[in-house]
Amino acid sequence: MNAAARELLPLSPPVFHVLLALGDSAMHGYAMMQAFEAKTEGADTLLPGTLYATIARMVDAELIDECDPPANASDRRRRYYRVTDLGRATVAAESERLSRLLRIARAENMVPAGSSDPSA
Amino acid sequence: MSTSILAAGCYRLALRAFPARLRSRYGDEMAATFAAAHTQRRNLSARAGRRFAARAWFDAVRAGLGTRFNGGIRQPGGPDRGKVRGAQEWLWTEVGTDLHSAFKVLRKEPLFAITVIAVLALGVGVNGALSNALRAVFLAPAPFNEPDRLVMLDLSEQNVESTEPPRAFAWSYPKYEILAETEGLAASSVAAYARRSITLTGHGAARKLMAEVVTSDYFAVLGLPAWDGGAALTVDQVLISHALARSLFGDTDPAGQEFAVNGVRQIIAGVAPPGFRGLTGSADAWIPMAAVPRIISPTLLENFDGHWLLAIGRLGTGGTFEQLRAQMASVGARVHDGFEWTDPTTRQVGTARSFEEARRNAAARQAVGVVSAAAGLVLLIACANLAVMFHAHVANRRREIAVRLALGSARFRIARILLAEVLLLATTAGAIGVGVAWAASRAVVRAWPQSFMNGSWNVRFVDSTGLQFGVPAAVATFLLASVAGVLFALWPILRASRTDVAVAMRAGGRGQSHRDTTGPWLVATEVAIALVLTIGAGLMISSLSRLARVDHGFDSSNLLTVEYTLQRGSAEAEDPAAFHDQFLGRVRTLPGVVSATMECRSPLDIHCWTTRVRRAGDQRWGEGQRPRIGVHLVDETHFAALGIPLLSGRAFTAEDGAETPPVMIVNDTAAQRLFPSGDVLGQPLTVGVSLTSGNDTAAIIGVVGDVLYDSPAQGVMAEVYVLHRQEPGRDTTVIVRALGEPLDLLPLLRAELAVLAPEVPLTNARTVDSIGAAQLGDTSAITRLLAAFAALAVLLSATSVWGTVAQMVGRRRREMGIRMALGARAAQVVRQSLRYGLVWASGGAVVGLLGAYYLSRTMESMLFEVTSTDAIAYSASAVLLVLVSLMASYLPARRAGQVDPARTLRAE
Repeated sequence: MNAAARELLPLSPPVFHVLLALGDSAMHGYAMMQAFEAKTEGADTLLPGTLYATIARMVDAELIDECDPPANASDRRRRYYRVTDLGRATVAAESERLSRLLRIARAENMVPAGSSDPSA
Repeated sequence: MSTSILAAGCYRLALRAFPARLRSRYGDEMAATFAAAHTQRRNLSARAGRRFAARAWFDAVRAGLGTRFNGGIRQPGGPDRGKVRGAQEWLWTEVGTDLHSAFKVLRKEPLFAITVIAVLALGVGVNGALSNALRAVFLAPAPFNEPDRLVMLDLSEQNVESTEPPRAFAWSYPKYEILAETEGLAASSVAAYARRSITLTGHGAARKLMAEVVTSDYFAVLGLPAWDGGAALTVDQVLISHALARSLFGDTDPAGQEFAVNGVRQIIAGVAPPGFRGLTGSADAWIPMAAVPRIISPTLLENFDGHWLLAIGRLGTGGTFEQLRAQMASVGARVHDGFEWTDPTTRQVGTARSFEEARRNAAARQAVGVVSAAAGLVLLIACANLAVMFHAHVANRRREIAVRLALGSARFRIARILLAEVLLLATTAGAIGVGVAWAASRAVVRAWPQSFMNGSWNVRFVDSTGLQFGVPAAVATFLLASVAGVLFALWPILRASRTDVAVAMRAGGRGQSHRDTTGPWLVATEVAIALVLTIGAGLMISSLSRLARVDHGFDSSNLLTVEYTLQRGSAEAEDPAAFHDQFLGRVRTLPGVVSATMECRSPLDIHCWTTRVRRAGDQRWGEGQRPRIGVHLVDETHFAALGIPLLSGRAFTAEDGAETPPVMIVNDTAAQRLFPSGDVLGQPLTVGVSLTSGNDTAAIIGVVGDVLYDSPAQGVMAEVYVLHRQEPGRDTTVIVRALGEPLDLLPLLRAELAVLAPEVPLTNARTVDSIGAAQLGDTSAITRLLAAFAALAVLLSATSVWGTVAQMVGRRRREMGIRMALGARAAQVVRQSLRYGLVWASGGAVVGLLGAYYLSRTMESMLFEVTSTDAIAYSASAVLLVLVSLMASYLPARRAGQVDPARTLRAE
């Protein structure tokens, strides 16, 4: 699984964003947009065109798959997605890769003072 | 507040960038997601909604194209780049990325983007509309089968003593028969036609409309399937236009129905194809030649001296135009020898003209040429303006470009990003330009007088109201914008991509080097072109104001003219003069009528007819020297009613009539030319045709002031007035002076005529002022267009002057600060900046004056009482341009004077 996940690295930002937005929940596209915006505190936006082009590719790559709407779904007519095991492994591998890079950047004093340390 | 239909529609359109497979699977989801997110933003603020819609739209196009050509989920530029994507895919993704960066840059400079788009859209829009009109009038083939094989076969008049080309006139029917019966002609078929106004009754209200009288081969010559019946028209038949059939009978087939043409019953044989209006472009009915004696005149077909027909032929297989022309020469000779011809100074000759040549009115061609050239110059200015703006835009980014180059960006890549910016601007301008062109096309149709679109005499197909701005014109306009935009931005792009990194970094953000004169050169070019246009417009304005001030010799205020024709054989037509007098009598008693009189034509329109003077007093003229004179049939109140002064003698009175001795009144010009001794009254005047009660001679009883009946350029000619009771006719024009709005009288006049003759329609109601305005129509339409172009050109060149001086001031701010620190006064620095703008603008003006001197010669024949080198138009235009340039330079120059030396030096 880990080898398969590492094959896909480095991930393009939209793929990474979708995986982060979904987390452990099942969501439809608009919910993903909102979740992503909330998680990045509005600093980044996923626009519908990029979002669905990414979703399509991720479904093909089996990083996410379509699922039934959850019991508390606001709109049952929409398509819902959740992260697959491969997706979970991939996001973990990508996060690890990025943390490694961040550590190097910190060691070289290239990260501005005041930035929070994710590993802390 | 939910998402708007427009935003949702645009988004759906953007989704077309995705492959169909993805669209069918995710399209609805994407649209729903867009709608939800858009609504949320709109609820925050309208601006946020618009911003989001624009970003989402662009994102959809980019993601869609990316999906089509790039399937991976890894970072672009990852290790699989070369393997996964083919050359085409790479290209599309790169183009998408370039366009995206261009979009981001332009979004940060909205003023620049909007100005460039507006300037280019306006330039191409105007050109798109005009070239469309030009194409329809002059370039598109006539709506007949193989129009290049059609030949106008003219009977022409050749002056035997001069080498002037023969002047085409019309055939009489007996003369045409010689042509029609000639065997072995290179033309496979020939036909004759003439336009006639007819009165239609028997279906609703009587109506007057245009018909073509045609010989049996007319439809075969034009290569049209004649009509549903397919057979030749018989003497009691008539063919009608599709439009007339619709208005009279709706959707039912009118074949076999009857109506009366000029009071004679005719059967409708069929309906012409939709849009077909004959060679005259205005016919609603086609009458066979054989029906002329029944409908128009019993003797017209036998009269060899009545020239009223035009002839057209179709070249047969193997026949050539040259053969036909030679054959026409021999036909002309036979016609000349076969009939009596009284004028020894001329002879009749047969000539042939290519039909495509004949349809082009030389005056209209020249005017359209001038207007199109002016539109082309406006486009050139727009492009130069765009180049100036783009040059400044690139210069301001010099430092950024240098940084990119220093960081390893390829020069090619820099050029590509700039090119993407131009492409984005030019294609947007193209799309808006198509809208501008469409609107301008409609404006052209409204502003352009009908007469302007006419071909030469009796040959006309293009109805300006039918001008369509179709898909080909839209595509051409779009391409014009894209190509012109890219072409003119190429030079700044090439320069930018050759930026010297070290120099640019040293110069900081101060744009291009001191030696860079691209901007000023472009400005000078713009000023030169703007001056040419301003001078052209100035000449036309001067000409128009002179035309409008021409004294017509009578008081045209509040005059209404209407026409009617008494039907042949009707009771009224037995004594038309009495009928006209009776009708005028009733009109004079109507409320709101000041006076009412009659003539055979409307004032300002034309003469009733012209003839030659044989004898005036004791003076006689031999053949070939007889002076031309215009003839007018009037009633006794005519001069008083129109305010034409009686200079000597007396006017006609109620006592003058058919039983009293024949009398005439001449105008001042006739009195002076024909009677140089000054003794006019009581003298006999003999003219070429019988006028008064069958006499060709009558005594002159009075002299009246000159009235201008021809165009102002032709001037006043000798005129003779004849009392209508001494030369009665069935046609007449009634001229009424109203107390208030003349057209308000029309219903009253119709009611009065209906009482006397219910079958006679009252037609062609116009105010005399509108006839005058129509005469100025061509000149005023051209003037308006040129003036609009000139104003646009001045505005564009002024913005360029402003932009270039502002850029110069920005660039030399440091130098100016140092100079001021060393003691230079603010006024000196302002003067220096002003001088910079003025020197380049003046240089452009000098070139513009020279250009105008050569180019305005082509306008000579369009001008009235103004020469193409009119000093006032030249100097006023030059002064205007220089003043505007001065003003445009002043704003940035003033800023130069406000430079703070201390701050500038600190910045160093």
